[in-house]
This record gives sequence, C-alpha cells and structure tokens, in this order.
Amino acid sequence: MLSRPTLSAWQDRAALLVILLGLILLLVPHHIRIAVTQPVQVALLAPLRLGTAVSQSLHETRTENERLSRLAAQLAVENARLESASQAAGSVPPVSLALTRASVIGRDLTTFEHWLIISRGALHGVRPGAPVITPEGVCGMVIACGPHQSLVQTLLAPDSRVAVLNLRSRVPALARPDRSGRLVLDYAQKESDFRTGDTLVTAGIGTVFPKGLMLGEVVAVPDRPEALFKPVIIRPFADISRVEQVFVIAIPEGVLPDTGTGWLENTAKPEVSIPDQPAD
Amino acid sequence: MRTFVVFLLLYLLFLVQASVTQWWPDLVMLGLIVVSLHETRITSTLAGAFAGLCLDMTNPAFTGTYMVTLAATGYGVALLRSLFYRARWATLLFVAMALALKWVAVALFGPGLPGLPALLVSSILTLILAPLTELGLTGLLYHGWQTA
Repeated sequence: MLSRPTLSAWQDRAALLVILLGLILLLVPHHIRIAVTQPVQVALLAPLRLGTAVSQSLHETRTENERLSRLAAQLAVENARLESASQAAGSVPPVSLALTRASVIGRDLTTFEHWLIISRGALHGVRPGAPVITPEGVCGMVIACGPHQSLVQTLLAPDSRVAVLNLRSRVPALARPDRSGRLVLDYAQKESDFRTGDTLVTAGIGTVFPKGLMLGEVVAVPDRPEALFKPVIIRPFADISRVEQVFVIAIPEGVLPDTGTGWLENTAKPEVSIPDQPAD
Repeated sequence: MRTFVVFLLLYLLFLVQASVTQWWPDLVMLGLIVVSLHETRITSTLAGAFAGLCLDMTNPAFTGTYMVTLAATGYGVALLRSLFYRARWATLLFVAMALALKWVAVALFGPGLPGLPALLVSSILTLILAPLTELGLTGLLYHGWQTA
C-alpha cells in the first residue's frame, strides 16, 4: 500500500540547504576549493596517514632488522675467526662466507631442541653438512635436505659432537650435549686450563665447522677428584629452544662435504696422515 | 548519542574504503543507506554530506562531488523509505539508484569513471553486500532503539 511520505518542512529545507552547500562547493574554483578544504583534509585523513606511516615504518623496521641480523651473523663469524686467529702469529687468510637465512618451521616433538626443520633446502643452495648458526653462535648442522626444507641436527642432539677450543687458554676438547640443555666437555685433561667464564669456539677439526665460530661459555667447572677428566659445563650462546631464524653457511660449489673435501682453510682435507700407533 | 555513533561508523567505513582499491564495494554508501532507512531526513542528509566530504578529501580537486551525491542519497532514501514499508527489495533498489547517481556524478563532475571491469565488480559487490550490511548494521545500531 503506497502512502504519501509525510513532510517536515524545516527538515526538508535544512537538508536541501546542505545539498545546496555541496553544489556551491562544487562550483567554487579549484584553487579556492583546495585552500578551503586543506585543513579538513588534514584532519579527516590523519588516521589514514598515521596508519600508512606506521605500516611503512614497520615494514622498514622489519627489512632493517633482517639486514642487521644477517650482518650480525656475518660479523659474528668473522669476529670469532679473527679473534681465534689473532692468537697465532700467521696471517689470517681472507674468507667470504655466504649465508642463507632460514626460518625454523619445525622441531622434534619431544624436546623441541634436538632437531629443527628449516625453510631452506637444496633449491636454495643448502646442502648436507652445512653449518647452521645464529648471530649468537653455532646452532648445529644440516644433515638432510629436501628441495625446500632441511633437517638440522642441533648441538643438543644426543649424537652431536663438536670440537671446541678455549679462546683464552687454547686448549682443545670435544663438546657433547648433556641432558639439561647444556654441553659438557669430554676428554678435558684434569690439569687443563678451563675456568668459569671462558669462551669456547669451534676448533676447526673435522670438515663441518670452520674454526673460530662462537659456541658457548664455561658456566661451571665442578671439582670432582674422582673423575678421570675435568668436568666442564658449557652454556651454548645460541638459545636453541627459542631460535626462530638461523643462517646456513653455504658450502661453495664443487665441494662435496661428505667426502671430507676442505672448503675453508681450517677444514682442509689433511694432506698428511697421523701414523698408526705401534702395536704393543 | 546515536547520531554520534552513526557519524563515527560512517567515518570508520570511509577509513576502510579509502585503504582499499576501487574494486571493493562502496561500503560508505551501503552504510549511509542503512542509516538513512532509520534516521530522520536531516540526520541522513548530514550524514551523507559528512561521508561524502570524507570521500572528497581523498581527491580535493573534485571536492563536492561525493558530498552532493551522498547528501542527496541520504535525503532521498529517508524521504522515500516509507513508500516501501518493510519491503526487502527496497534496499536493493535504493542501492542501485544511489550507485547510478554516484557514477553519473563522478562521470560529470568528478575525476571520471574507473574502468568498466572495476565499475561493474564494485557495483555488483555493493549490491550483493547490501542485504548483509542492512542486517548487520540494523542489528548493531538500531537493535532496541526507537527508529526515527
């Protein structure tokens, strides 16, 4: 049923006046219109501009963070290597390490820190045997690669062993994980010089880790007279239980890590061999 | 209080619409039409003028185009709504008329029409969203409140 709309005269006049004002504004010359509406525009679009600025700032911060993180990792590698090499009289050979940034996209479901799955694989140049680091220190090594993902065995995995070097006393030892998320040294002589606070770096023995990567800090040297070797407890610099981004040190093309072919000066394939011990 | 909420809502819809592309539905117009179905003619007209002014500010060279269009839309919907008492298709009709008015105004006084695909997609999405918007905004703004 159609009915004639009720009219309220003053409402109609006011409404039409508003429309008329809009029409007048439409007919005003451009430069006057822009000058008049400038403050209104600033006020009305302020939230949009603020949102855009915040979004842009966040994006720039992320990009900068990624760049600095990559740089920090490179510097950490280079710094540790130079610090380690500065003890020796010889010159430091120039090394340029290519790092591949990867996100941690999976963990083992029992401890969350023995095995990691990272978001880079063979298609990104990652290969088995490649060291995995964080800006803080060594994280582990790649043990298997898919096209887009890789499996990383961390320092805390039960089978992990890393040759380390005391940066202060230059004493080498072998680090293995204990069950508390820390590392312990195997075969450290009882008279060897390890103190709380000592920094340990990779020793470069073997074909996985180049020499001089930051690994951890000695947090305790318990006094156990009955032990055959000196117990040394190490806290890894890399917080593996919380790590989200890692860097894979790329192995140069043409080098086969599983054959033991050296790809850094400290991991070169031995050209001489240690003679077998004479049998008693 | 409700009038303030109406203006705030239209402003928020404007912020959303100004952040997306021209392929999106005309959220401001949808909001205005739903508001005009419930508010007085003067409130609807002022709300339309405000929403149009906001849209005009995104391109100050054509200030007034959207203001006139949406003010006229608000006034027209508030004036004509009683002709279609509780008719569900009335909202669609209002939206279609408002879209036609908007495109004509933009073509005559504004920066010109967008490409035909964008125009069609935006208009169709606006029409499709109209019943949902009416349902949502009516429940949000006018649930338990006396219609003007």
